[in-house]
Amino acid sequence: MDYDDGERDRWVRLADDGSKDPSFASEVAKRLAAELRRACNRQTTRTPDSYLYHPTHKFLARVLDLDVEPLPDDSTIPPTAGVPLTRTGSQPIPIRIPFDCLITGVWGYARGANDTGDPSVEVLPSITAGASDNLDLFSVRWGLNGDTWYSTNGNDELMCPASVSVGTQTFPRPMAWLVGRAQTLNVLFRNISNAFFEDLPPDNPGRAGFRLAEAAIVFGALKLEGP
Amino acid sequence: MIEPRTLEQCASLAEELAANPAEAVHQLPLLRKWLRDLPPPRAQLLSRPEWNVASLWTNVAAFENVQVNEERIEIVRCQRDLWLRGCVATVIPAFQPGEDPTSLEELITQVVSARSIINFSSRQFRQLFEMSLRLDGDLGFFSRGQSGEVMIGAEGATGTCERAAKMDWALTTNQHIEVRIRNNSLWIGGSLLDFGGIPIRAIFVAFWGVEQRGGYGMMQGGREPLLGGGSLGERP
Repeated sequence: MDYDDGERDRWVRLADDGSKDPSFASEVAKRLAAELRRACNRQTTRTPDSYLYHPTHKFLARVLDLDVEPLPDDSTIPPTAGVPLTRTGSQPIPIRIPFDCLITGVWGYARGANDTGDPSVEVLPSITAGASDNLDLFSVRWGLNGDTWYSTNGNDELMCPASVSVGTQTFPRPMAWLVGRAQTLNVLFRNISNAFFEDLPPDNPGRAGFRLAEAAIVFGALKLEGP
Repeated sequence: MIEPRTLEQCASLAEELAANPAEAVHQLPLLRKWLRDLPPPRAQLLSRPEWNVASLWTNVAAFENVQVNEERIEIVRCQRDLWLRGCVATVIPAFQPGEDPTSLEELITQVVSARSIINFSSRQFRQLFEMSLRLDGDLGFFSRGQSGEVMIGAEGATGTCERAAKMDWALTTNQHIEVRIRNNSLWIGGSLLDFGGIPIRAIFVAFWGVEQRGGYGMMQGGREPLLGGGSLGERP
């Protein structure tokens, strides 16, 4: 059996009309019975099972040389105001959508900096991260057109680690997000590596966390516009 | 719980009403509801199984500076009608200073040994805490089957960035989820290790969801919404 959205909407409207007008109810019931039975008896499907949904287009939001933002610290003199862990002072990275598309998934990754020349510093990212692709070393939040942000506790928007916001390239977080041409996705990033070492004494060089050579979020999309 | 209806059931009801005009007046609203709540057509663009867990919103409970054995509660409010489809958690442990707290090499040694203890069986450090969930403050979901709620290890209730723990909760605006956590790192390592537990800098428990309109979750991004596939969300 098969039907499409347009048909279902029409059936719902018909049932609505019949509900509002009792003199019409009987005729509506007969029409609906005939149409629904015809839909039940149909055997065709419109989309082959082999239709591919792999996202061809990939929209990238990326920051290079992402440094940490200081966390609030009362132990220093004077106290460090810092930026709370669930906030950021960074500017959003915009992605201007070039065509009508269906975003089918989102994933991310981060890379530690390996250009410091100090092997002790360079090994820190790999031994610190607990998530695949270093996703817990940075936090992220994305939004649409600058006014709707999609990470929240229900009252406020939050920055949260990428390891709870996105998937990996092998296992993307599934999405079914219809976005139109000329709309703008905005993505905020924050390096949270210093949060892992906040209990270290001030003179330990690891306390400041480490720079990320790259942090990126990728949205996989299917183009919906015709050629 | 909402019971899914099929097209065949809708057709049967419509035929009953067509044969009984007096009933049609009273039962058409029911037929309308069944039609509205039909599963999406199989030929829809989103009929593949992956869409069953597609989501856009990330509703997060964030806990900061959780000490060993400390218990904490955070509330996640639904700011709109939401269909929650997955649960993910991650932990930022607070690595403690070692014997030589000024040395980077000592820090690395300490981090590696701490990692070998705390991350040996679960990703994203989730075994450092346990949790329970309640809806609207009174309906809990983890138990031994009898009275009294229990907390379970986070790796038994949440997923990772690669695979979210599946959920199928249809919640309305202003309903709230109470997330209760406890830092249970003291129990890791057992009696053989003089471990003492590890403070947690932050725990994030996230619920992936889609805004719900009508009978099904829809993703919207400024244009007409698309339907998500899969069954109706169970109303807990």
